[in-house]
Amino acid sequence: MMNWLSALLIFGAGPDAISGWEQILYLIPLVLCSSLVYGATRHEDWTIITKESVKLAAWLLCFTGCVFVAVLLFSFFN
Amino acid sequence: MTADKHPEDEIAVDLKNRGFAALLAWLVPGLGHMYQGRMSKGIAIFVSISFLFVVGLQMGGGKVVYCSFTGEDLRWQFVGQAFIGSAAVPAVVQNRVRRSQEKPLFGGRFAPPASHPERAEWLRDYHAYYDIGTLYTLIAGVLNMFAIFDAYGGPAYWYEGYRKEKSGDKEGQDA
Repeated sequence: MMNWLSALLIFGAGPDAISGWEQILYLIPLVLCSSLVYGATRHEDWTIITKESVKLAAWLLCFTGCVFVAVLLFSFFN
Repeated sequence: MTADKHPEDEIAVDLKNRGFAALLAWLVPGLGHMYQGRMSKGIAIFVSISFLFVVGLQMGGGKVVYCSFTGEDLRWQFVGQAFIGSAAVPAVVQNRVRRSQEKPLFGGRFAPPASHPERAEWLRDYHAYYDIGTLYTLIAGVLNMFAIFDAYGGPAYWYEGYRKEKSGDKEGQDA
């Protein structure tokens, strides 16, 4: 079960390639910083900024998660 | 309907010289906000954007931010990265230096590759880190574009239509 899944998630070839799982980890700081800056540029009150940032971060993670699952399923059935 | 009073109405923001603030925000992320006295926002923007930019730059060995718009190497990502002025200015200078066939400055940082094989070598050496570094620096630049608008025009809730849209949403939910 894990063989095809891990093979699928290795995007690059060669010894220096980052595995798919590692690439996904790089998404987390990107989402956190993006949502914080976006929230900060739309509001002035820190309570609202925090709330909006958390909402946006959750939305971004859900959206990218859905795209990831869709692509994964598509690759599996193809 | 009691949505007329907004919690952010109480906060007074003095944008001072907004053009100068926007210029500072372009040069260094968050600096324009600090000039306007919005220290906490300035620090948050500086830390977030600088973190993304520096980490991205290091992942690609300092070679992911450069200016080149030739037919052989159309670096469109630089359009987004250029919203961070402290990186855009040296990149443009390096581009001029490279075009005049001189030796690049700053130890080759922000310099475009001399040839197509050199760029292929960068991609081979840094592999996926080159792409992730490019993405990080590109997003850092685009986020700084929002920060520049914020330094120039104030936060988005000042926009009249924004408040109407929000209150319209609220009314829709109440009904």
